[in-house]
Amino acid sequence: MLEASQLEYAYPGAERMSFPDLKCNSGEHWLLLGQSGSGKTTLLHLLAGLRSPKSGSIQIGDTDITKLSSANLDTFRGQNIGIVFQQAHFVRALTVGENLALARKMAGLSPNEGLIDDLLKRLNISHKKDSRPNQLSVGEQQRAAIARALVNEPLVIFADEPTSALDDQNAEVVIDLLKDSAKAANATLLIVTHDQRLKEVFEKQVVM
Amino acid sequence: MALSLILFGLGVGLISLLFLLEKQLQDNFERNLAGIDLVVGAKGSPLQMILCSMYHIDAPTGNVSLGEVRPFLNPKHPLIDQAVPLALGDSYQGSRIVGTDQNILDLYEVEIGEGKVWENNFEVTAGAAVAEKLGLKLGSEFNSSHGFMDSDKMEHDHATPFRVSGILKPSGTVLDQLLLTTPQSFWLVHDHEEAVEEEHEEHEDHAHHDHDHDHAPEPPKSLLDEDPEKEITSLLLTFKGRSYQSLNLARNINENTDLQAASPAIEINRLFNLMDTGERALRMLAIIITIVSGLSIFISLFSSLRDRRYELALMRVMGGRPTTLFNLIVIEGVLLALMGFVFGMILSHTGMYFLAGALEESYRYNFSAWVFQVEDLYLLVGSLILGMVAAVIPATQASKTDISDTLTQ
Repeated sequence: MLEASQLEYAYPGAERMSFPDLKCNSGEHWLLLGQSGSGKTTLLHLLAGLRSPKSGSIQIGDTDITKLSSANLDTFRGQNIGIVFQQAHFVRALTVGENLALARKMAGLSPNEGLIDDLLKRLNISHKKDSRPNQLSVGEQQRAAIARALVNEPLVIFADEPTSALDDQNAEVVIDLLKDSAKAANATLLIVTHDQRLKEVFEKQVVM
Repeated sequence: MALSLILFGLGVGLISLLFLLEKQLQDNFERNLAGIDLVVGAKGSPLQMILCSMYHIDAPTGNVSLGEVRPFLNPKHPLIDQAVPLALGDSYQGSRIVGTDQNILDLYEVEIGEGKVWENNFEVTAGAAVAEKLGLKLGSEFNSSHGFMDSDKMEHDHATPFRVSGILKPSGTVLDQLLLTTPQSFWLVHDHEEAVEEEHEEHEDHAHHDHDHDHAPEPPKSLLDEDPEKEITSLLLTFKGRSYQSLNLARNINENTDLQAASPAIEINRLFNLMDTGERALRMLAIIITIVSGLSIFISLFSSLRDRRYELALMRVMGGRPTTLFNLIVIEGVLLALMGFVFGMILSHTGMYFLAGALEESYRYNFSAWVFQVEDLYLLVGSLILGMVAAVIPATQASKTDISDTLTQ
């Protein structure tokens, strides 16, 4: 479950921004639509605990993450929040498999090779497990990024503009992957985008 | 990054090599002190006399006649326990031949390995290392050369060759590197040559007197009974005890006779002090190289942070704490230093391995390249600390990575 209420944030020297309230139940798939510059990436970073709001509360599962200490927030984020960025970033020196293992380690979870293998198989990139990220195609990199977002079995998955750089066909493939993966993990999925093509695919939407 | 590693390795290697050299040189010098209290020889540089008579790495200061040193050879001398005569100046294929008596074996505590100890003229007992190097076996024969260089031109033209009668056990002392025979053999070689060539110029350092063609192997007389005009190079003395008189003996000799007496302990100490200055300069240089390489590790870590800011932010997203990133960078610095240290150790010990051959030639000791010392351990700890210190500022910077700013860039 993901719930945000009365969130406000201000960049240094800028005006205070307010954000719409959200309430997404477990397993629901939501779309957060907004034009560039509408503050949707800021909202995503607030919800994911990458920034702290000036006021308001964010409830993920049973935890109000605005009340966590920074060290606890780091651990909580690692264990319960999966994020797929617009551009896939990896630790370049490590293989895909090692990147996934590192994600578990960073979150303080035990390594789970079986889970990593299953995940890679489901996303159809098993054969790339021992490859370096830069040896993957863009599509494979995106799958690997999704795998990393899911590897800690998070409560919530955020995706930031996952389709904006893709053509219609590939956009559909990625959205299906995200939805299927979230469903399989029974996680809440929130996609932040300005991509109007996705409007028809999601019933639950917030517009900024 | 590779450059910092090489620099670091060079610095560490140089320091370690200096430690190795210093330690082994000192060990060798000290082991060969052999309880000798005083060396008596011709006037000249006392250090040169010690280096020549005890370490066999310099030319003699000159010769002294038996008549002059006879009092010290007398077993009834009240102060002197042992007096070992040395006749120097000849060699075989670059290895020195020493005319002396069997007491030298007691002095250096060396035992005979095979064969027997030299007794007669032209019998040689070879040190273990020199026997191996020159391929000398029991019964091998050779002619000696004048001087210490390996040169055919200087080979003595004499009828009687030296014959190896025995080989010493390896002892780690300078005797390993020497060919021991009687002092009389020296005189005989040179007397013979004179008779043949009637040539006098080359013999400054050597005994050359009455013609004596009697080369038949017979036990030589005691030096006390020999002609007082005969010459030897020096005497190694040990005292019965450290009395006031024995301490004064050196001064008396130097002031009242044409002889020179020098204490090995004092001269070697002087030598160490001389070497120490040069060594300190080298060590400073090595330390500066190491510090500069530490600085370059710092710079390369720092500049690599820019390239890796996404990776660092990513680790924070995945649940890493600022301290996690801090530790990662510090570990990286320490690992770099460790690699540099290992590289340096390889450098210094292989360097020592190659140096050892050359050093053995000039110092007549065995040097070992594969000795690890407690200093290496200090060097390891120092390296790791340097790596850690070099990483602290980059690590602090990394721990302050702002995830959100970095990812929206």
